Amino acid sequence: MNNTMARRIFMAALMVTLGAAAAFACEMSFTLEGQSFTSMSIQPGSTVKLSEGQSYKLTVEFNEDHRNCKVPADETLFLLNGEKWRVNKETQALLLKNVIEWDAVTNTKNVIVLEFTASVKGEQVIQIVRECSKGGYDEEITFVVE
Amino acid sequence: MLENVRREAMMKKLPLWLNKILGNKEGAIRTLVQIAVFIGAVLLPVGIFHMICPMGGIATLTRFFSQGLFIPKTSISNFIILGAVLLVTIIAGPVFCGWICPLGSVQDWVRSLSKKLKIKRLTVPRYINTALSLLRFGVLALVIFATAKSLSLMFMRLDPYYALMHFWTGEVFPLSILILALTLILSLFIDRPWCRWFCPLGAVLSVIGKISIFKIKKPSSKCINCGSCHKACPVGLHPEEKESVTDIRCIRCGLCTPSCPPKVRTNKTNFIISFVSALFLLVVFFTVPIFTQKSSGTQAGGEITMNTTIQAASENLGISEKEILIKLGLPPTYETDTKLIDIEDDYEDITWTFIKDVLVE
Repeated sequence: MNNTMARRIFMAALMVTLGAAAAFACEMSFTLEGQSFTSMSIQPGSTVKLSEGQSYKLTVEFNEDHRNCKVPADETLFLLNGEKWRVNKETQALLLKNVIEWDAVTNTKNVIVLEFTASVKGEQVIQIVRECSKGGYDEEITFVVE
Repeated sequence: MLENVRREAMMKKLPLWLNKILGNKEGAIRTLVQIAVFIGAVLLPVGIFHMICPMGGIATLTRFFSQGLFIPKTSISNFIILGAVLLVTIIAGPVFCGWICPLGSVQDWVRSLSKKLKIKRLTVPRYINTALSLLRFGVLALVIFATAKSLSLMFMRLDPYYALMHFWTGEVFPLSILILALTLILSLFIDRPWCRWFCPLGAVLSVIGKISIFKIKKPSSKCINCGSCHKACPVGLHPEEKESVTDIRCIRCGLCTPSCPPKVRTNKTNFIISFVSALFLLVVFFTVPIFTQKSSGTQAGGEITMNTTIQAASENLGISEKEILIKLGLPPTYETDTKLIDIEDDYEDITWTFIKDVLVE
């Protein structure tokens, strides 16, 4: 193999590697399913409109893509308007129907489906927090119930 | 004249390595700046290193413009540092690449090592070098697209710059270590392969550098076309061909000037402009994160988070546990190893928002 061929193979391998890396998912992804629509992807930081009285499913996918992620998925905090989002807590504007329990799909992929009813009109903020010494994760999704 | 003779006589008595360093003052000064930046960056804690990444500034812009928010792990300091790098680039070209970037420095050092090991440099044909340099723009487009889609520091997963400074932590992705390893191996044979062909930040700075006020001038007006400056150029340019280097790939390292044979060399302006710009960047890099950290109070001392216990909050805030319990309306016997976020498990009204209001604001 001459130098030119070796260089070409190396460059091709590097480009494939770069391409494969781009396929990595984000740290957390969110999908919302409702009665009036099938499913929609939600970007953290965005605002989504909901209808009062309707039920929704928020699917959260969390990929542990750090090598040594020391914070288990269970330690992810879900806050609604600054307090813990709790199951069947009638006073909360988004009434959570199921217990927050992660499903470990693979060693690194965890999924949770949060079923809730938009019970009170107004702006409701869900905050998702993972605290660790390496920056962690802290994002918000704003639901406007109309 | 007499001084030059004296200087030459003195240098002959010095060891060869010291003689080389003193004989190439410009090169030695640049190496010192590179070492200072490298050591400073290594000593920065993991969280802070994100703050001195100009690429992080570019990534952050994608979200800040659309939502007014920062990407996780970035802050206002990324904008300030990106701003300083862009300002210097507009004035003096991509000095960041040639003097400050730790990854560029390490590639330089690996290449120097390979010279010592008598490893022959691979000569990349001019047209291939030019074509490959366009890959940087492809990588840049990919990074911006992926960041905008994911709203996270996607490039961190590939970034050899980040892997270099933190490969011993669990924060670094295996793929970025692989890319770093390939870059360093390639650096044994080619000068600065990452900078030449892949660096997305280099792509941005090279375009801005094109319109910079100061450009690298031909090292000497008495140029004899010996090709020394081309051999010294880490990105394979030909400074001898024109009066000033207009190629966007020029990283303003200034190595072409000291490589010019001493009897011919006259122009030291290139070096002085790059040196002053590099010093400015050096100061900005290591003062801005400290200043923004202190002013925002978001990183270290004095901070409480959801998972902070009452005991730790007492230490961090400098108030007694008893006082915290009183402020929060908790009984004096309440367990102080409870996390702040978990207090509402026992007392429904003492939510995180309430705790922040009482203890922080």
